[in-house]
Amino acid sequence: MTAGTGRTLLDVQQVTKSFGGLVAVDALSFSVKEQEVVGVIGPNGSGKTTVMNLISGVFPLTAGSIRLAGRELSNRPAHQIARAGVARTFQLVRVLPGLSVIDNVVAGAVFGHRRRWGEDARYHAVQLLERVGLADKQFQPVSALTYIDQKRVELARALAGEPQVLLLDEWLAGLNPSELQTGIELIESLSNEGRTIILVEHVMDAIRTLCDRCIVVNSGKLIAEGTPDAVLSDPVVIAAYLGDD
Amino acid sequence: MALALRIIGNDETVARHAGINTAWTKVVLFMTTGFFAALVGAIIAPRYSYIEPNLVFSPELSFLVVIMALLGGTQRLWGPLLGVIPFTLIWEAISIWIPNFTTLFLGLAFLTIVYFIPHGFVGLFEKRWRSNRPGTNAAHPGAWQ
Repeated sequence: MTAGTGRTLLDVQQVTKSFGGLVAVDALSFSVKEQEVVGVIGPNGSGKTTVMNLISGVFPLTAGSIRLAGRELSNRPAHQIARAGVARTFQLVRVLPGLSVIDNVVAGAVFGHRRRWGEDARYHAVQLLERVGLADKQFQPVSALTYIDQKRVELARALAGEPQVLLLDEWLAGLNPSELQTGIELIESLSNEGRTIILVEHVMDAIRTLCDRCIVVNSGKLIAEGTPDAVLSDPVVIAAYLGDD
Repeated sequence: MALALRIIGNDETVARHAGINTAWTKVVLFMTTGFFAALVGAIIAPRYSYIEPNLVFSPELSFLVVIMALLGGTQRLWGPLLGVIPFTLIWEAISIWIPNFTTLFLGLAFLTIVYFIPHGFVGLFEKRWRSNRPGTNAAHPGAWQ
């Protein structure tokens, strides 16, 4: 765990997204400091993934603004946001099935925030694969990989562009207990490197171990914010998860 | 550009989030390929004394082009070239011997290719080449499947 350095990197202000009549995210504001790991939690359907999608530019905001180091990101297309320095993984793993493991990572390096070409990109990709523990599998087709290895590929691809902010959307979901442990250690080591990470997660152990700060979302609204322990014992949060008595 | 297209072909959402301007890439792709089609058209057109929509946009002609490309293999640049030569020879022979059955032949050829050689001649060659050198299997996962 590293504490933030104090400078605000990502600033989400009064963000609202409605799909027709349904308000998925309602005037949500929070900010993420440099080198901070922030967890986004909340019951199912509370709008966590929508928040991720809004930051990474899957769809435009209805209202509000998102800034990355003072630069306006809202309502820009996804590829511009990626180049500005926001990389993400997906809730349901999305690897490029026709490409080898290393090409998947090269893809992130060539078009990402910090661009690399040719040999440079390849060398960088190999290093990242070593980092996530896939060095011996770099020439395999991704379809031959296990679930956790595919998740690792996705993480390496997201890291390849050297993003300023990394969005992990339930990256730990669907792993068995031992894989979970390796997964948590991996993310922890990334955070120790001083990366800024926002993670959406259901695994509370992970939230406790990894996050400096947590925000809790329910029905698209921010209901609590603070350290994981404080937030998880907040009566409002417990009520949101378990219902009022 | 080639890598960008392969990524888009695999998963457009990932492509967008990796930082690729997918719309622009596709526009450039269609422009370049369209350019060559236009070039060929400009060369061919004066050879006919006149052209009319029925002649140029006939279903038979559209179908022929697709079959030639499929026969050669669609995933390599030189694939269609490999398909055009044998197919044109057979096509000419058929239209002389049994001119009434060309449409039938077209349909049969299409089915045969799709069922038996979905990756075309190129796919066949690459498979043969790879099985002759088993050691290179892992290093060249090759085709998109």
